[in-house]
Amino acid sequence: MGLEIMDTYRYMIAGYGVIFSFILGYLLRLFIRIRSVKRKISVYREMLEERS
Amino acid sequence: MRNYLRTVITVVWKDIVGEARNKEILTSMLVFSLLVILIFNFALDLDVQAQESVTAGVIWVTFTFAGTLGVNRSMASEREGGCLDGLLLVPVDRSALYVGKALGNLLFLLVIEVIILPIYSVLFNVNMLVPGFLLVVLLGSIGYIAVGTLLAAMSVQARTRDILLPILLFPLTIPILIPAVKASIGYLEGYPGSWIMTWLNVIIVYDLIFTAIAVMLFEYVVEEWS
Amino acid sequence: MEEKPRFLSLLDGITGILFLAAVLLVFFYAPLERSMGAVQKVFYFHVSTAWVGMLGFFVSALMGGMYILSRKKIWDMIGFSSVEISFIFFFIAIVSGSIWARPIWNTWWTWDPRLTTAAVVELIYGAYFLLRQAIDEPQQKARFSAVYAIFGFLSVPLTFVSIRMLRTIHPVVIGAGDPTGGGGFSMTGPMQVTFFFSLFTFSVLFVDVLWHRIRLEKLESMMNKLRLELTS
Repeated sequence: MGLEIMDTYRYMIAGYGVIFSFILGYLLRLFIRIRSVKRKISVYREMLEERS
Repeated sequence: MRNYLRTVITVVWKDIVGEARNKEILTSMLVFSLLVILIFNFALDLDVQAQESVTAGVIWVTFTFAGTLGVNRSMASEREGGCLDGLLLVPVDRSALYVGKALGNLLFLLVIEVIILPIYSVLFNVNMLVPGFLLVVLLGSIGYIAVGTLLAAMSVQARTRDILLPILLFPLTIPILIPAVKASIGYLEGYPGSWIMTWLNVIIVYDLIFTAIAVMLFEYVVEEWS
Repeated sequence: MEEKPRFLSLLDGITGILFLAAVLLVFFYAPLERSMGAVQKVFYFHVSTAWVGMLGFFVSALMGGMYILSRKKIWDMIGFSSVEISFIFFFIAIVSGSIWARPIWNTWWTWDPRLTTAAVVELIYGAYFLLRQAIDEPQQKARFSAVYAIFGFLSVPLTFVSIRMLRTIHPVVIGAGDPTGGGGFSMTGPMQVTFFFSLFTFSVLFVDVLWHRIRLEKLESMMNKLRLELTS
């Protein structure tokens, strides 16, 4: 195919860069969302307890 | 069974009578189709040589857009106080209502097609009265309307209504548009029958599968229709 | 409810180890392919992400059926969660495939059946999100998503077949058929091991992420309930 060796490595790194960053990005966002929802739940719980 | 048929006929008849009174759907579909063809004429420079290869594509895009318009309009008028509400209160099989609506929509689209095809033939000097091609138009329209009617019943209940239907419908109908365009080209250009048959088969399979599922799932779409 | 189930933590650990092992296999165990060199290694995770995508879309159609039959909210939650995960993974598959295609086919994108089908599938599930967004009533939202997920998933094979009948250049790596375009190759033993291990790892990853995503969905509905109590 007449590819330079360096080129094939560059594209490999780009490919895995995309794969890893997307997966990690999604996971990170997911965990941050879970965290913040949990925090809100505990805040609401406290407010409800105070009221009663 | 007789009850089922009567419901289907009632729904179709109601649509026809309503349409005969105000001609809302048919006129807007027709004008819209003509405009689409006009726009294509300028955008693609449809002279005699160029249009041979794109005729089928232009025709199908026109029918697709017109079909979306018609299906959307006919469902929207149901929501604005048509008599589907009443029929939903009666203990009839929901799928009969679907079949009725779909047949009505199919009829409107076929009427538009019957008007548009000769006009296109005259305007661009192509012979479109090829029986095989007309069959493709019929089969393609069936599948398109089958899915379109169901999705329109969903989209008119959503907040974004008119924008939503094409977004939902177009990606789902790609497997009918590709073979329809290909089979149309086949008939219009006189390709060998076996080549055309493979495409026709895809259309037929699509028609069968999606009509069956739409009939089965329609009741879940109109459950809390209001 | 708020505490993380212990088995989920265990699964997290297993997934992490498997993922690490898969990465090591890809980079250090799998041999370099002769003609394509290192780019070919993108293939392992590219196919795995695409696999997770299809798996999730399948799950969503299945959950759609379950929801319609049983009307339990949980099926809708699972269906929606798996569509979201699959949407992301399928997108990764498209982008990583594109990066692979650049040196091999000399183009970022071709209208080949698999690529085109992938694009159409992404559009279908993009529409799925728009549909959900446009409906406020939760039960109606769940019903419509279920119906659309079933339709969407069933249209995928037909889309593929109809596009496939136009000529393909995507290499066929598994199963019969000689590759018509560039970039086909046959897998040697270590390659196969790496490949199937990646597939397995990503399946486990999918289950793990799905679980977290469902948890988020449950926590959110819990939060909304509490908020409602507060405002009332």
